[in-house]
Amino acid sequence: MDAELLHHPAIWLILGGIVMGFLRGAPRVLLSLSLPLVAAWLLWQIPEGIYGGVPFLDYLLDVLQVDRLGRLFALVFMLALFVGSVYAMGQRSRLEVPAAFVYGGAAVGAVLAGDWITLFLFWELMAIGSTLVIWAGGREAYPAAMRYLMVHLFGGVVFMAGITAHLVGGGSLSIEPLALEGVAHWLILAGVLINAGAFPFWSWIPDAYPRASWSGMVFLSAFTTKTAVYVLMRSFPGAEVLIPIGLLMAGYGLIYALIENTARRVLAYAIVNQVGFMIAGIGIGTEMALNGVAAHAFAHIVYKALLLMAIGAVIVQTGKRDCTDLGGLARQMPVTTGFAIFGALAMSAPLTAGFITKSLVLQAAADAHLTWVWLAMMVIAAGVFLAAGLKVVVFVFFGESRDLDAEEAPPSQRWGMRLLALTSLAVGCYPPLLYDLLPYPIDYQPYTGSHVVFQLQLLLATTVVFFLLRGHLVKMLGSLIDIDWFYRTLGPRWVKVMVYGVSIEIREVVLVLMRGIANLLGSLRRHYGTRGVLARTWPSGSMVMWVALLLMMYLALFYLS
Amino acid sequence: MLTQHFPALLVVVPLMAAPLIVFARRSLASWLIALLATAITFGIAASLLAQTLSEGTLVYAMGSWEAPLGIEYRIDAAGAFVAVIVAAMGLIVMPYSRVGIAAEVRSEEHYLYYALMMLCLAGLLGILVTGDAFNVFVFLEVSSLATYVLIAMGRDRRALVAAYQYLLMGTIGATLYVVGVGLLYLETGTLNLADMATRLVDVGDSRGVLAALAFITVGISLKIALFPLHLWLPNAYAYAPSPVSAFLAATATKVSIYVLMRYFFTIFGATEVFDARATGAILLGLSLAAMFIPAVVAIFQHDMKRLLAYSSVSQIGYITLGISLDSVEGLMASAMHLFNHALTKGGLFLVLGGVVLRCGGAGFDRLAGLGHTMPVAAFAMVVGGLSLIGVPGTAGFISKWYLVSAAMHEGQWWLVGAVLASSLLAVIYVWRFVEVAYFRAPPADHPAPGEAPLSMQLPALAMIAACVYFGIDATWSSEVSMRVAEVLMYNPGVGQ
Amino acid sequence: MRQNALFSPGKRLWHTLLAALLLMLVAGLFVESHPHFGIDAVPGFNAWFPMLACAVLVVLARGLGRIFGPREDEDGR
Repeated sequence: MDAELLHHPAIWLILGGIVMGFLRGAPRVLLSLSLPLVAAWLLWQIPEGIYGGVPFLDYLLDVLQVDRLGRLFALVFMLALFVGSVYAMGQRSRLEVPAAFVYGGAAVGAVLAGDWITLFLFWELMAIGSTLVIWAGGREAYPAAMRYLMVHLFGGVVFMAGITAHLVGGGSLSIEPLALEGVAHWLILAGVLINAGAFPFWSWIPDAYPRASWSGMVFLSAFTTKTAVYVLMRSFPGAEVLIPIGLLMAGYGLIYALIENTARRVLAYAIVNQVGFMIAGIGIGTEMALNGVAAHAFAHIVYKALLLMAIGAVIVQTGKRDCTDLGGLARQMPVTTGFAIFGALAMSAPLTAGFITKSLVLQAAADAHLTWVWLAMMVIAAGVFLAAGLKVVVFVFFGESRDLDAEEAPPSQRWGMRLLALTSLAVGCYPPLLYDLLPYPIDYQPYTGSHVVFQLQLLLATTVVFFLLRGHLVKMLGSLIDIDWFYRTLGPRWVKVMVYGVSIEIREVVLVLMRGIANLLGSLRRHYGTRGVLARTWPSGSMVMWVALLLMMYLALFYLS
Repeated sequence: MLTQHFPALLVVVPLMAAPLIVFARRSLASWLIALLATAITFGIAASLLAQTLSEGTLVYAMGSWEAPLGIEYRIDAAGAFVAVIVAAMGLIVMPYSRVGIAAEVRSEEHYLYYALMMLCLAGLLGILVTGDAFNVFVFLEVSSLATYVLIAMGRDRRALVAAYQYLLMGTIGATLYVVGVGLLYLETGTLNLADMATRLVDVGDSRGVLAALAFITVGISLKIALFPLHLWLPNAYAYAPSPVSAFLAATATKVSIYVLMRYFFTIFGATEVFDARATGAILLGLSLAAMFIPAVVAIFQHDMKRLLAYSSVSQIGYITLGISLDSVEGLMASAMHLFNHALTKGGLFLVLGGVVLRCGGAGFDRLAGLGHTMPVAAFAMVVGGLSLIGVPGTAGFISKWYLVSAAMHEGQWWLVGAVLASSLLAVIYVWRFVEVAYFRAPPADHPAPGEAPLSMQLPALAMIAACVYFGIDATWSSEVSMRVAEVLMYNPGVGQ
Repeated sequence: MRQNALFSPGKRLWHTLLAALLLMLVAGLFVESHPHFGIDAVPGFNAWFPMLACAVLVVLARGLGRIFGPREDEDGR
């Protein structure tokens, strides 16, 4: 076993998180602020290379692999943990921040994993850690936490099946690009895509994340989907199937974000949208595209966390979550409003991180002469600025005041936002800060006259459209039925919506089907319930009957075969 | 040398401890004797395992009468491995029992409890060590009779009914087994298992042999509680005193599984029962049913003990699934899960025993808010539950991994799916406990909250800790399981 | 559902916005650009294309909202 493993930042983050669970007050805050810095320092000390030699399950695991890509993601995750801890200083839950460290630590472990098994182990730990973070959101969050856990354990199971098949079939233990041939690789891809929030497993993001506490969602937005993006970059760069998958996610995220009323759900849909954008970028697969995806993962974590922090501050002050209940907060919370506006601009305006990263991916699509992909990405860039940026900021902070009782966000929250804004600004003004960390050498000048002018055209035009169509946007605020409806409430209402306007006969058929399903569920309960046939304390006679039956079956099969 | 008598002493020590305890009669004295006897037994079992791993099969002629005239004790790595599990569980349950039975068994019956535990232990170990088919039956009955009485000691009146049902079913199982052995004796003219294996090759698969296989399989399946012959198990586990539930859950069914493996691979191994007949296919079907149906039933339970009992039936399905694959990898996964599940379920029942002591029952209404009233116990239950699901970092994950790999070696993709889908059912029933323990308020009439006494808590936590340890460092368990599988598969008692 | 009070941009904001857009459109004619596809060589592409796209998106979302929404369960919160 290599000595460097003692400096593995993920292990220190996870252990620190567990210790934090037993602390409260100032010691907890102190530990949560120092730990990410210590972890980043540890990571910086380890030279690039592979460290391992840990025996597990007939394999020698390369637990720690430091290279440019892994290090970039790990550093971003540590930044998210640090800023999140600053923001969450006032969090009263004793569970949330410690759980977030286990979760974030596991994410760091996953992006620094040198082999599939280590990756999978951290992957599962992430599922548990993130469930606890959601769980800390309070009583209304419990059912969503359970649904979230089930989706991720299911994803984990698919992922594990893929990995075992890959290894049993003689595949290499280390994480290398896969050819997408055979069941094993498809299973791995499916397992990762479930965590990324791809169709048809995307509704867990808007379902579970917005139920976390005001600070919980800041942590949640950073790790799970980006880890999935990282694994896709490692194992399926240039897999063309990722382009339609990603664009579908992006389109779904856009439409739903446009309609959604709950502010943080809008941002959750925007996460799906941007992760889709990144996945499409991985599908392009050139060095430029991969650089762009890695960079954009960083920029996205920063601006999305900034927006979530601003909304989180509003939730703390007002207790309201919906656009229709909010409005006019700019007067009471001017600083928070300022950061929210900056967060919206940081998606793509010049001088912010989003500008120098998004253009990389777009450039890659242009270089590869993928006309339709490039056009779709233009739509995504404009649409997300309208749906998640302008809409959230204007509806929450401007407009008629609702006489809400609100004060400016406390200093800890303001510092969290300030740090993120400064990060975005610093990277936006001096791109080499980020470009030098990217996996491949890069020769791209973001600040040319045409880049800046065209981007400003796009932003200004989108803003004009937003103000022109704001009436429509307000009228359609609500929630849409999503995929999760199918597995959550196959209720009569759904049926009514689906057969609305269809002839009476079809409606009758559907009703009969519904009754059949209800009967089936009832009989399931009759058989499996506490008083069910299969659970009742059977009279000994029927047990003996089973013995006799089984014996007969064996004898018959033996003699007949 | 004393060591050469170890195979006999493994049975003799607990067997002799039983009458001693009856003579001693006093609760404390009988506990001390039992504790000493189990400690010695565990030492012997451990040294036997070390010996068999390094030297191969050990043969011991009872009273120096050589086989086939006399009864022969014959122990190899497979038997010794299960013996270590059984003896270790005995050793863990004994210190636990002192307080553990105080609330559940009348004090004038304490000595009986210890004496019966010793008899049960002797019986189970006897099955593992003997090389004689009829002797297996004798020890099976010794352990079963002791078990019936132990279950009946539960303070719930339903314990009597449960014990009675188990008695009926157990007797039928044993009878079927003995009929099978009789048929084999007719065909081969020997009761010595090693001899039998050699001679069966010449006899081939005559009707008598096939009938014997059917009778023995069904008889042992009853003892294993293989679905759908599991019906005695939930009640027996639910109403027995807590230490008894824990001991039985970790040992009794496991020993029977060992017997089944022995017969399938060592005795009938050379006659190609799996290839020519439907044995494997039937076992596969029953295993799949076991993995799913009892798991769904477990989800609907309102009592933690019954939930765990149904989960046991479901987990037994994984073990028999490995057997039905008829490959070294499958057998290895079975042996692995046999060990890991003994750890997990033993640990869970031990923790639950402490909870029952404090809360006065294992019903979900009693367990509500456990996360606040008994945080350590509730957390230990959750860790054990994670191992039932097979979350990485717990012993259950190791078993799941090897089982999935074994299924893939055979190219059985759909079995991989079945194993993983069944583990998702485990998530649901484990979540039910989490929901009760953490999301519900404790009942208003909750008795004095607080953790279980240390003498119960320490053994329970030790088991749960072992669950995690063997989930992280599975070197030892995987190496031994591999040896066990190889011994069972390639060493069918012939040509010793 | 309660209607959100509309935020109406004042005359000054409108004028600034439109003036800025116009300025950028003019500037776009003078900067050196590298069109890749042809369509992006059309003057002001980066202004009219997003405008069009956003309008289509809103109409699309409105239509979908009529068919599938509103969803009235605990998720509305």
